[in-house]
Amino acid sequence: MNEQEHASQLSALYDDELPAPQAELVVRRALKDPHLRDAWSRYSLIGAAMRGEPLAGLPGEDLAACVSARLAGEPAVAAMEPDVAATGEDGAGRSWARGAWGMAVAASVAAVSLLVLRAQAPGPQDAVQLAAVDAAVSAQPAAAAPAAPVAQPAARAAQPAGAQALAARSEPPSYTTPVDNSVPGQLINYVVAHSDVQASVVRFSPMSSVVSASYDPAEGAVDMSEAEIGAHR
Amino acid sequence: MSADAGDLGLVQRAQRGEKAAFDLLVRKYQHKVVKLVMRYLRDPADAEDVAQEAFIKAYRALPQFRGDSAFYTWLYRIAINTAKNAIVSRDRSPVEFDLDLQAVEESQMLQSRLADSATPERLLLTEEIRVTVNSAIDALPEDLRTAIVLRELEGLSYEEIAQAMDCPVGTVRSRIFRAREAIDRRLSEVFEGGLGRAEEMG
Repeated sequence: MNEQEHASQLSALYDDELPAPQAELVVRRALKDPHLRDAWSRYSLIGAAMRGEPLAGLPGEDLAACVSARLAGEPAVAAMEPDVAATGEDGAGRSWARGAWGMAVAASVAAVSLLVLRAQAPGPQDAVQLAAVDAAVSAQPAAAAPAAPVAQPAARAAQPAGAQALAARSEPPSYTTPVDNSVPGQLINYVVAHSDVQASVVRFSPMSSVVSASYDPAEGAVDMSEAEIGAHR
Repeated sequence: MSADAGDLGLVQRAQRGEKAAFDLLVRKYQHKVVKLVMRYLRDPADAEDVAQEAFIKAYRALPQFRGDSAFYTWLYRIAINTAKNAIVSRDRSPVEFDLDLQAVEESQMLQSRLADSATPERLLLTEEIRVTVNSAIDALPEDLRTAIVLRELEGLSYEEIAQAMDCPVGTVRSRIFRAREAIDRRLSEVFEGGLGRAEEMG
């Protein structure tokens, strides 16, 4: 095949009018032969001149040369991401892979969080103390209810609104966490006990409600009065 | 014959890491992209910068190109978005263009704006190229001229040109190639002479 035939095929390739098998050969040849590449550029220039387009590919001001120079410092796209054409992997497959990767990351974060929470949770001794407190708290309404069933509304009227809401939910009048020298453990107790007021608390700094609770290291307990609890609602 | 097969082959090669394949796509579409961008930006130099940027973005986005549309359709979308982003970032108002303008009017407008900022050497060379191409086309035999005009100006496929000229597709391919070769011969003379004159002027 002579040069004329190569150029003729290049012209047809330029117009996207060459059958795929031939196109592959001509592209391969053009990528190696600078004369064919220049001819390709001139075909582009001729068409642009005929259509009155701005001539961007003039010698010395070649836009393609500028782009090529800028891309010289770029990694090849094949190195950026797996080749779609070569792997035959479609977009849906890649989306699925991304989703699976995201789920794996989320699961890892959740597992680490669980481990951290467990490490900070009260130990067996604390659990016994908490159980004792729970038993005492649950016994209070049971004992008081039969004794003054009618007086309860009047007593509630005298209480602050927050305290009334607490009583309506059968919550204890005050919370006392057991003695523990580790502050994080006490804070967790507090947060767990007040999880129902989270919605109102989050309007402020997450730590603001914690700071407002009086913590006495000497006593080793956090006490919150009903009024204080109500103030957070 | 699949349309866009040539472009797709180049895209696939570029996706496999052959930058030279992408370079051929840039050479092919650079004029069209600059023309497109100039609808949004006043300054031709800005338009060329934005066109460059559009090609760089297209190269980086090549892994996402799946061939659902023709390459130039995809590229044009990137170019338009790049031009709009450039307008926003530079806080310039876009040129008010009626996209339905006749091609001749649009071309004249683009030429006048190019003339506003181009260097004398560039203007001279550009004008020489246009005159040479037009005179070369005028000098072509009727069948070659018709074939190249139907292809480059009307955008017809070889099959459509074959129907219009009542000849085989292979003949159309040959006529278009011969027309290009004839114009290219005249053009090469201008490049050599034009560049020489530009250096003398400088």
